[in-house]
Amino acid sequence: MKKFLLFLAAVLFLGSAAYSSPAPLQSGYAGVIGEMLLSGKNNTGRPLSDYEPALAGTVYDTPIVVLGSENAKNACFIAAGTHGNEIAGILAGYWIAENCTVENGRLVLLPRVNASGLLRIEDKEIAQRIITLAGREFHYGSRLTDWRFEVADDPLNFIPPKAPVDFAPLAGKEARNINRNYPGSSSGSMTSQIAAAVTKLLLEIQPVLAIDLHEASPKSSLAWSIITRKEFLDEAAMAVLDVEDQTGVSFHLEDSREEFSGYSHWEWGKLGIHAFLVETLNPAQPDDDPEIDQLNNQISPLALRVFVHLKAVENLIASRNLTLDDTETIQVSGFPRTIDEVSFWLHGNAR
Amino acid sequence: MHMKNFSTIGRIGALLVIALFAIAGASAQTAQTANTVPAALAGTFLRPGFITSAGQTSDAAIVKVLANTKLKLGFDYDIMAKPEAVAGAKTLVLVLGASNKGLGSAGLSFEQEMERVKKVIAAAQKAGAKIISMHTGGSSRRGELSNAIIELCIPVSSAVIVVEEGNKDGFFTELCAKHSIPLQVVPSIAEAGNVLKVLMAP
Repeated sequence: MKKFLLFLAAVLFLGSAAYSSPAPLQSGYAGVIGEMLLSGKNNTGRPLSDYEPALAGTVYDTPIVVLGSENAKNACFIAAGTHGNEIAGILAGYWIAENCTVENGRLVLLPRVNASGLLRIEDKEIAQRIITLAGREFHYGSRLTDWRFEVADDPLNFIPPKAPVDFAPLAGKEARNINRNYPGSSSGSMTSQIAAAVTKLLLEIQPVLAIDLHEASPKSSLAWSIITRKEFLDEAAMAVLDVEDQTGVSFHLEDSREEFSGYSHWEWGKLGIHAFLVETLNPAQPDDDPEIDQLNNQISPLALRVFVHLKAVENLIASRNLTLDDTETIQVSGFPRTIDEVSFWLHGNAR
Repeated sequence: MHMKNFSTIGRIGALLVIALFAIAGASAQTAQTANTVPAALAGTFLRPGFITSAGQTSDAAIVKVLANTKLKLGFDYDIMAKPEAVAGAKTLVLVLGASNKGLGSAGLSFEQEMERVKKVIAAAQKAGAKIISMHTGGSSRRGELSNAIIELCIPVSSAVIVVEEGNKDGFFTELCAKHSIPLQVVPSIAEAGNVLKVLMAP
């Protein structure tokens, strides 16, 4: 009841009318805040626009959630919602914001990196999809950022900023894919500025590890995997084994290379950050097929995907802690022990 | 005469082990555990052991962490080992699966990787090492290139361990039966490690 009242207060206070209106958000920040049930333990005072001022007050701005001590030296960074249609990662981020407590260090979380994707279904003249879970509403959004407020139309093709010379060009709309734009540019598109803001945030907090939560198509080799640079494979391997053991999902490991130019984990890794990409299997991808039941899908129900994301985060932190001094470890409690806990959180009842 | 008898008995014993493994692994969908490893095969793979990939799959890193960090088996490891590196090993573990990302990361074409694996196998055989093939990557490591690597490695193996998701079509079951290679199909990567531990000499 208390959480519900807090939720209502947050929505009213921040003036988020996003739920019932098809109009575009004027503030991505308010839209994201309105989807979470936050309490006094997490600090959401800072918007991402603190790092790129042009984002302030736009659909592209998004909140930074901090758990633990603001001044703690050792930080873990978690990004979710870079692609607004990959809802398991977003909900895992919301779980962390609402249920986790940091006993040592700090956890810096961007629950929806792509706040502008909150109210958009890319290139489709169809109604915004709202998912109602346990009386709460969540937006099934867009993979890409909102084109309507970008500085220019999509180019004919797009090459990530740090890609090698022989990189095969991507489709032009990928210019609005935040996860092809790292490290970003302060003088670039709005999408590029989001990436630049995240990079500046990382340079400021110097996290001991960074995790980016995504989903992949059933046909993708990345589904149910952790992807990382070669130098961090051992840490990821330990987490993969534990995730499989704790969830029963056949999880695997992928190593990345130059073809991942512009991806978060690839570019963050160049900064010396132990960076990992986590992918669950989204049964509706790659086309966001509205006919596919995401919530109760037999192969990959939403509760399982959220559970796997959370266990991946928990085990990646545990794996990273093995190589840190005791005083520098990240200690986080509040991860689910069973899938039923996630199911109850999502649906109000056990699976 | 004694030697001949021993040899005959040895051959019968070996066939018995293979038959037991084959019976246990006859169904592609029935997962086994370390408890079902035939006693005659348990502890017969000697140390030192060496782990490498066959196909540059990052699953090799998982098997290494599983074998060394979790199970403390103390294998040497190099995902792209050269033949001379395995010459001192008495057990060679090949982690099977072709990965375009892994090949790209290693700067190898698939054909170059096949040549490397052939040379590593030859060096191990020349040194008298026994080979264990492991496949832990499930269906994502069962494409055309992976199958070619698997078909190269299975016939030279003395034991094969497969996580069942990669054997849904019975590919390993048929291949191992064809070459009379003992096969252990397991439900998870962790159980694959347990089987590996049972196979290794203390």
